[in-house]
Amino acid sequence: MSSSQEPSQVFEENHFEFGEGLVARKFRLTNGLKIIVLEDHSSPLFAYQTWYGVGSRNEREGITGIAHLFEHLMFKETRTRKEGDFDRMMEEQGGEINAATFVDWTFYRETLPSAAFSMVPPLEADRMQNVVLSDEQVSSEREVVANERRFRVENSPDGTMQESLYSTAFRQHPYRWPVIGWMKDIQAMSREDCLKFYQTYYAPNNATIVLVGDVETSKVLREINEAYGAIPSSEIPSEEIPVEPEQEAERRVFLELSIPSEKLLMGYRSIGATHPHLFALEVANTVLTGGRSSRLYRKLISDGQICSDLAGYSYPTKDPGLQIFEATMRAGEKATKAEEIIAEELKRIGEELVGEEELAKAKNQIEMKFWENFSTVDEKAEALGYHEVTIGDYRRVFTDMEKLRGVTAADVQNTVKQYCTPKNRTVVTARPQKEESK
Amino acid sequence: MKFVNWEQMGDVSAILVEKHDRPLIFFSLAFPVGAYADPSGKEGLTHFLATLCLRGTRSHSRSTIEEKLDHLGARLVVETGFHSTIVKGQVLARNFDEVLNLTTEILTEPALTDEEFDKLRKEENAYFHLTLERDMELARTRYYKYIYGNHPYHFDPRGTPESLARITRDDLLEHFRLHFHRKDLVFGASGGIHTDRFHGAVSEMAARFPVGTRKQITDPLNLSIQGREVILIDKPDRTQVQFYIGQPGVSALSDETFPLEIFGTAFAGKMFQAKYMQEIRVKRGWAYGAYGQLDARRDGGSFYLFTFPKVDDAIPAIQLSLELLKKAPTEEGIADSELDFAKNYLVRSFPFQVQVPEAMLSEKIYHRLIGHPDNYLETYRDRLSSVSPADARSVFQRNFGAENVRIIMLCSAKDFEKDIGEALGASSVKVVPHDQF
Repeated sequence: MSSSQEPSQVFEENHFEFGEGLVARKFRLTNGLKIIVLEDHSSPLFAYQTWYGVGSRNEREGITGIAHLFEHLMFKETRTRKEGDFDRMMEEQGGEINAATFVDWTFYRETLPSAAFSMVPPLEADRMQNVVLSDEQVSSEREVVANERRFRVENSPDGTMQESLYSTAFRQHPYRWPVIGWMKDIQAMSREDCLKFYQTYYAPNNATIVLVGDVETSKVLREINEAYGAIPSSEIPSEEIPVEPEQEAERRVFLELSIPSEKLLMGYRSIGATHPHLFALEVANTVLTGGRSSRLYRKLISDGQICSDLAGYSYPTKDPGLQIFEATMRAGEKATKAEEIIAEELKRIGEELVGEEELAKAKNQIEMKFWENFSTVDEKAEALGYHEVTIGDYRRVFTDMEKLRGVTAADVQNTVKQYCTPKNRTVVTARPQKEESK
Repeated sequence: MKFVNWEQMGDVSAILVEKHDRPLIFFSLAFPVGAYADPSGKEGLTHFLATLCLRGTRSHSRSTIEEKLDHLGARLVVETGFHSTIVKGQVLARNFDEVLNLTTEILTEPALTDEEFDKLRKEENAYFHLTLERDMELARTRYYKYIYGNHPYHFDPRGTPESLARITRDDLLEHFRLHFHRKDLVFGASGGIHTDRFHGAVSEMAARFPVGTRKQITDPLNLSIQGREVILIDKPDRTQVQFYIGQPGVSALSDETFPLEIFGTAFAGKMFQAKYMQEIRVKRGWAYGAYGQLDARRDGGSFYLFTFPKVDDAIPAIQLSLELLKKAPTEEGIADSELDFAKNYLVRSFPFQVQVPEAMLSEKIYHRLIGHPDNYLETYRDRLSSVSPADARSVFQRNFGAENVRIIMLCSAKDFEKDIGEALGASSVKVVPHDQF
């Protein structure tokens, strides 16, 4: 724990050079606050993101969704600012503000014209330590979140299926409950629950600020140090997260939903964001579902004509997550057909090496998508923040591309053989509700 | 922020937004013809044709084209509006020439085979089917369908299953001959491409298109709404209602868009401070979001409010929305200070719209195609700044109110059809199935 009497200092930890004159640098304050700065003067804007190392993984049964509810409450009131001040001050400068919560992190973002920088560190430092809550505010925001849940889950077949997938694929790990929380938990959350959560996890040594855009490094560091330097670090409880045991057999769920045709969602238990097989898995995904010439797109959509929609992805998380395939069937087609074809293709990759042309094709697509999504100051900040908080190193944003380029056909084969096996999967099938049960 | 200018290169209007920070090039090839040119009963023809072009040429099959594009780290998509059809591409910079060459071939020598025609029609039908399960998208398309009456704007540029079923190969060939030529073609690129390379590419590309003539089609929108007309889009088991309250608006070419944009932003725009967001979400927690927008199109448009409360809160939310609409033009509804705030917000947030080269390119092309002056973006902030609160208020009051509106609700009709007419003072209540396109 740092003493608030010693002057706070800024230490440079490392930097990374990429592109023409672009350098990302990482710093740390005495109290443990991390700061990553990427100067980019091509537009008169900057993105300021604050990433906290807390997400739904840090919840427990009974208060699922609290990380996300609290994210909403961070925009309310502090000891020095009344409700609405934060948004108003940002929007007065033409700023865009938002936040997001996921399983492993919560981040708050604002994007503003560069002239407005000095306003931001004091405001963010203020809400890192000074949030106050009333029962009325908590109650009102609970209802907003309940409506968000209705929107994202109850009235969304995809949302309902995703929730079912994770709650079946995971039995011990917190990834089993939805980030938004179960409705009964949302509606029962109290002001005291929220304050306790805040006081436990919102501290400088559990935060990383990511700054990208038209800023000057020494100036912004000085202002951040002034704003946050005196905030004491806190003892963040060590995570006692149960390890999800290996899956012994395939799991299945059948749902009846208000949908016009069958849908399929499959999740294979896979790996975490720091696992070396991650790159091979990404290449495998692209071979299977990336682009219109990909294997499954051809077999299910353009040539096979049995699906109207298809996706394959794995969103890397701190702990082992899921490799997902999802498909929506055309009218009259059975989800089992898509399931068989996907399983066949996975088996085929496990038995026959992907050709060099196909491998090169997948890598070019991955490269194109990377640059497509590394564009605005916000996107750049988000990539850096995600890598720092989930993977532990922001530099991986730039170095991972080389690792991807180095993936071999044998790597792809071995990864698919290891993880995409029948016993390792959970299958959620949704069918249209029968007329009489509507 | 650096703005760029159009160049006329023969029949082609060209624009380049050059920036070498990423090894990626975005490009757009736009024909100034869109769904407006679809014959009655065959809506979706233009979009269908443009999409089918990507499915094979005289020299390359669909699968070869797809293979090539993926291998080159490229993507091509078709965006069809009412007044334009744009083929948008992105590609790793090192492969730009090859991809542009292929795109030109696609749009000048398409095969339009019966096999791909049939497959594409089935794919489009599958897409329509898919939209039925996506409430937000469904509510939005039904809003456009029911707000724009019998005007072409009420159709989805992709058509409907019925209209696509009427399209023949001869229709496609004739449509291609009439519209896919180089007269008034618009071409733009952004990213890691130098000027010389760009000019060379445009000249070579344009020379391959045939010459042609164009006739602009206009069809001014004249909507008439009597009283509060309610349309319930019936979908089972909804625990949440998506509703739109819409009324006739103004053309995108009207100078009134500037005061209306300011008023609309203060009232229900994308700011968290907007009145509608504050009243619906912040004060009452009735919905995750509450928005409003001027949907200004070339020949007219609409203004709408949109939100999505749970079933029990839907009628009170609509009643409140109508009350807010009624009060909006008064100082008590939206104060001068709020209008100034909104104006300031729009001016200061403008750089976000053109932050990256592909965004600048998109904006430039949009404004060119819709008929705005070429310096629209350059003068946007000044034009907004010159609007006074009184101007904004009087223009809103002249155009909008709370009495002659169409209320479109995606909901389970059984929850509302009995009571909603009386609750809203509706002049009519109609129930339509959600799967009626």
